[in-house]
Amino acid sequence: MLLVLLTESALFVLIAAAVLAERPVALAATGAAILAGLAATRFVTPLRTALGRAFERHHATALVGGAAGALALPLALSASPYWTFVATLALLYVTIGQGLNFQIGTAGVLNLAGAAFAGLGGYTVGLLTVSAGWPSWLAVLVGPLVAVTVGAVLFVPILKTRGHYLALVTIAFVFIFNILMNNLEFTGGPQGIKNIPTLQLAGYPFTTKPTVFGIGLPAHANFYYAALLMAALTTWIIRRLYDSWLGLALNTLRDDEIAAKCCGISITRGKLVAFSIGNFFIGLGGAFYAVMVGFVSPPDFDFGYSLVMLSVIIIGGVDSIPGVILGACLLVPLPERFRFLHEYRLLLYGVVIVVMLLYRPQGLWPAKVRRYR
Amino acid sequence: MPPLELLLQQAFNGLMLGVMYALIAVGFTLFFGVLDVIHFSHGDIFMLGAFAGLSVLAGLHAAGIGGGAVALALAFLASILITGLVGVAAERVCVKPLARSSPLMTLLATLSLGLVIRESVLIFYPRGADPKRFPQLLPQGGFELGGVAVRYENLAILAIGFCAMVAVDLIINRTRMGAAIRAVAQDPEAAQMMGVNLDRTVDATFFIGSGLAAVAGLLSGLYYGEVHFIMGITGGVIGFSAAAIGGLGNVYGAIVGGLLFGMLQTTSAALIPRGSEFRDVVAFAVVMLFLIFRPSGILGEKSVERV
Amino acid sequence: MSHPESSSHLSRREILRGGAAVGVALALGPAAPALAQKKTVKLAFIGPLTGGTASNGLGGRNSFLLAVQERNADPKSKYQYETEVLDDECKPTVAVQAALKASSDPQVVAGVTHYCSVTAIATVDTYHKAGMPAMVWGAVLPEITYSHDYIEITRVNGTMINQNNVAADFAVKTLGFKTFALIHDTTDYGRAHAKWFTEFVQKAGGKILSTQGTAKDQKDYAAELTRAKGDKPEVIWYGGLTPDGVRVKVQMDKLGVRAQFQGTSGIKSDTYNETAGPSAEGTLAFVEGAPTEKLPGGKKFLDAYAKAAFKEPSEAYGPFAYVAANLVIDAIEAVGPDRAKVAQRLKRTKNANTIIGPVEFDDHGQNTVSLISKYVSQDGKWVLWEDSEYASGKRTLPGLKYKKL
Repeated sequence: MLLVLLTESALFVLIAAAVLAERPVALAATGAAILAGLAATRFVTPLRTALGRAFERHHATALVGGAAGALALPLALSASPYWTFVATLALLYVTIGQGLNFQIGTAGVLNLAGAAFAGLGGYTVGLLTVSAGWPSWLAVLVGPLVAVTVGAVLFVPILKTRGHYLALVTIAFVFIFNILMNNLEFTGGPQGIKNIPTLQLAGYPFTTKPTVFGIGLPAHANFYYAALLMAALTTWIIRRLYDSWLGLALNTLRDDEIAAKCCGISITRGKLVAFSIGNFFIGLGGAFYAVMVGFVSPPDFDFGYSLVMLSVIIIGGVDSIPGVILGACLLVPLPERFRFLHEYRLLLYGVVIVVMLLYRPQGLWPAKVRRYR
Repeated sequence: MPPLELLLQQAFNGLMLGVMYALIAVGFTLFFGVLDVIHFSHGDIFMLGAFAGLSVLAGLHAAGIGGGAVALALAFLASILITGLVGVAAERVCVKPLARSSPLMTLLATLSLGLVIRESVLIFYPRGADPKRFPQLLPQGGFELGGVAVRYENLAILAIGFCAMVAVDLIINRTRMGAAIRAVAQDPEAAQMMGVNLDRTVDATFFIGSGLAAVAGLLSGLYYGEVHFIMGITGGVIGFSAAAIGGLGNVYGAIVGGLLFGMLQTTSAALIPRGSEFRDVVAFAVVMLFLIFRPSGILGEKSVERV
Repeated sequence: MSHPESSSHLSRREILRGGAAVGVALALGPAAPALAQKKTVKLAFIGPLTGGTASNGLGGRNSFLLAVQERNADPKSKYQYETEVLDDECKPTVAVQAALKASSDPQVVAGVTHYCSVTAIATVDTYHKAGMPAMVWGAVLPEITYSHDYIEITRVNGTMINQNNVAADFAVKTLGFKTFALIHDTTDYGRAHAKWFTEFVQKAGGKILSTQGTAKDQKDYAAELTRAKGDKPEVIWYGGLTPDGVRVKVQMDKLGVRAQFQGTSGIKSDTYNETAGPSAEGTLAFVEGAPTEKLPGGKKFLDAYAKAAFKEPSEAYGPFAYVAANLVIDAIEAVGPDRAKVAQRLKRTKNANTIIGPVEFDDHGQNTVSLISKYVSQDGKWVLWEDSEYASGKRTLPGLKYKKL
């Protein structure tokens, strides 16, 4: 138990340090500490087995400790609204990632239009709040529904097609969506939709700066906690679905369609359900983004972002629910941290992804085989 | 309705665009036939081919062998060689190892590889961010044929493109290596049992495909007069779309698909009001319709052996 | 391995608090006040340091740094100025993140921001929410200063309204062109330019035969040019940036479109001449301000810039970034490093004497002293119209040659 808590606290401190260290000495020290820690857990076998056993046995403590860390993070980041923003963005990607993972990992439905569905959520919020005057919280709930509806309508005829073709169709859809948002007047054109009103829950506007335990936090912390709640709920729902009969059916469908059909699973219905559920959460992420940032524009939802979402789930581990969390928490803040690399940043990003895929295609936290007791 | 010569001119424009797309699409379809993979960095290989040609020409110019057919021929040969080798390297490093895992992995890997290629050109080529002028080595000037402006350049490009496609056809259908490629495309295991060296065949396929992309890149440089490090981004998606419309795995289908895509873009820009803004929407919408209603493509998929 | 419940509870809370404390300490550490004699004030610079417009972004950045260097070397300065340089990649979302990064750093008092119109318009709200004064140094979209009443946003360069007014009048009234075919990119920049140019051409008595929007970085313009050619326009006008401008002109020549080519400040770059080669000859472009050598303080600026030995040239908008930096520093010296006070002070700038001449902001923070220069591409270089052989009559613009045919 103590081992679990110690490890988690050490992780917390390291993460806070990695994010906030500015001076080269502090940066180097943190980098060294992280590398040492990683090397130790990987290669020092007694440590590795001890940790593994500790976390397995004290599952609940680990979860509670993790939750506490997540709740306390804004306190550590209180001096930096920017990093609070990035942390919130990472949580958004967790939500989106769980949705996308459910489609691609669990059901094998290749969806490369993640950015378009997020965009549908975001633009719906923008249009409802700015043009129609709806309150933000209602728009955020309706946005994902629009994403689901469009997805269902558009893809019913195609869900029978094979992997490659579905991928191409979704790519074509992203491009079409992007160009339409950019060139149609009612979506604001290249400028997008501005001045989306921020979230207001029970009279508490999310632009006020909260104070927790006496420490003043930037206004973004409100969104952080909301996103944390959203990510936690999403993960929980997806976990329940995965563990349920539906998850099993979808896995079977993914692995062997003929066998699944023999068991009486309807391929089209299964894929459609997975597609819709996934799109709901992807759209939710996009809708939340709209109220958080206050504006949506076409470059925010282009093919590049679909790829980032894809990388999140692949790096974390396809069909792995904790993998998605790990993937998002690594892939979103790290490029920000490495901004000092300027033009080498994207190059390094590409290389890292290729290397990861070659040497650890199962992801950093691979999905476990289902256990039946 | 615009006058006839305008329509003819637009059709001709579409043809030129289509030829370049077709050359890229053939590469795509070959890779799919042989390895069952979608090689998304092929668009950036196309860009690399253009830049390789540019560098070679710059080098030749510095050495004094400036203009004319000799320089051009050398540039083509050198670029095909360099790009072909890079293509093989990419395949060895990135594509083959992942060919057996899900298409998702290859997709992401090749897209990331494309990013690496693009960023490398941006960073390492002097002032890579700027568009670069491509020497105009084809005979300039032209004539009018029924109101359509036909330049000697365009004819040369069509000729070179045509020769390239004929060459690929000959290689695929008349050589041993071509037979090997077709065999692997049909059934890799049976081919191996018949004595075909799988690795060498795959290498050869990638060399040919990338070489074709290099030709397309040089033609693009000659036709548009400039090259830019981002010119390959959409090349990948369009190449895939064109190959898919024509039937993945079918070389002639890829050519038809490429020409069709070029014509689609040009016609929508030419004839639909506000068409130039929505040219890609129309083209991709047609692609989507094809995939819904005729997913095996115009000429049917994976029949590299016969048309 | 088991501990009594109570002691593990305690140790956990202690660890958590300790961890939080360490985290907070690390966070506040770097923000500890400097021990230097002069108080340090941070200024942010945001511009496109990568991507197609990088040359302008880097030129602006260097000019900004030059200004800061000079003020730091000046013993009369009350503060020591530090810089935070951020890349907005000419993309709105990246720009918002950069703006957020700069404005959420409490040490940053003000910013010299943005060359691309799309980024400047996207970040207006971010600066306003943070109360950080931001002076635009390159973006020409009018909405950046006119679509709101925020006190934080000011702009030292002119808007495209003026540019297009001069451009239209020159083409129609001075040169005598009557018919125009417009092509523009579908970004904010291209669209807005097309809108304003259309308005002013029509006011001057000219006719717009067609307007076509194209995607930024589109490669093939044959379809659009053929369509435009069909109407036989006297001028092909392009609203967009250099890479696409090059393509339109080169392809125009290849397709045998016999018209004058005219563009906006977006194509007035050295890259345009280099890449378009002989096609560039006779192209017209219009820019805010004057060539740096001709500016009142231009020569001094160029000498200082050369001495500082930056890798990249200052390009057309470098002097604006330089002036913006100086205006901001002047304000801070006058009222102290307080964001609200600096914003107030900057907004009311009147009759400031700078290297680009007098600067005066209207009630929207827009510099109203407008100076538009006309350029023509001659022998691979951009030459002021008045100095060119086209103006003196020694050469004839291609468009005018075609008109006579």
